[in-house]
Amino acid sequence: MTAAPQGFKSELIELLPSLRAFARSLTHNAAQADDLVQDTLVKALANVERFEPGTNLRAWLFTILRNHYYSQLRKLKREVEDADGKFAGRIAVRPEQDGSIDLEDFKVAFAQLAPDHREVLTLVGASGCSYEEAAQICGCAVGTIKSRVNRARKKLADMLGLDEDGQALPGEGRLIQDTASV
Amino acid sequence: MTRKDDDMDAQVNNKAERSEERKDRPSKSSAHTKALITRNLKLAYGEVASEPIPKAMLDLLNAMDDPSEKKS
Repeated sequence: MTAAPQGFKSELIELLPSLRAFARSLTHNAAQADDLVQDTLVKALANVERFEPGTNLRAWLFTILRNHYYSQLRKLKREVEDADGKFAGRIAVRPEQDGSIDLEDFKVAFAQLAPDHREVLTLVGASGCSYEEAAQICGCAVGTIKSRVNRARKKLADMLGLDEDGQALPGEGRLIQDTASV
Repeated sequence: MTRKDDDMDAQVNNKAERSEERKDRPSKSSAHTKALITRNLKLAYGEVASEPIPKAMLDLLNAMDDPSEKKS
């Protein structure tokens, strides 16, 4: 293994929580997510000579993780669903009267999104990536990321029973299963 | 045209202009939905990010310092 650049290891350790959270958003399974991170670390360490010091380590690691995830997904030919995910497809979500959302309901709805929607929302909405950085990680144009984020947000709002104006829809929440086919 | 008519025209025009401005910017409630989603995304993300790092991951990184340790 080629010697890692100075500070590489400490930066890697700092980025581990973000890597784990990104992996969890893709797999929505803790064990699979940690396996994914572990594989990402092995790949990163094996290819450390390809990393240019001074460039964006987070984007480099997220790209490795993302590519590995989709590579595994293609091998499986289908997305691996955990028991919670199967159950989640049958439950209804209703926003609180004050317009807030229960976090667990949110997670259930989020898990129903397509992987490309989950990843852009996580990258841009939670991990603090810029649109440019997210585009680099996902290997597409900035405009594609922006429109994907908008579509993902609309889908999620729909699943959570919020109309486009951010108001709770009257009556029952919508069945997530009805809107899960992205 | 009376002064009263002028005032009414001005009011109508102002209203139309304000309406156009509103079309160009996201509505307050649309911004509310966006904020709601972002807040929950960050909460869910933060929950995972605050979990302790598994020992196996740290061991793997510590092996960087001593490649012989990785083989054993």
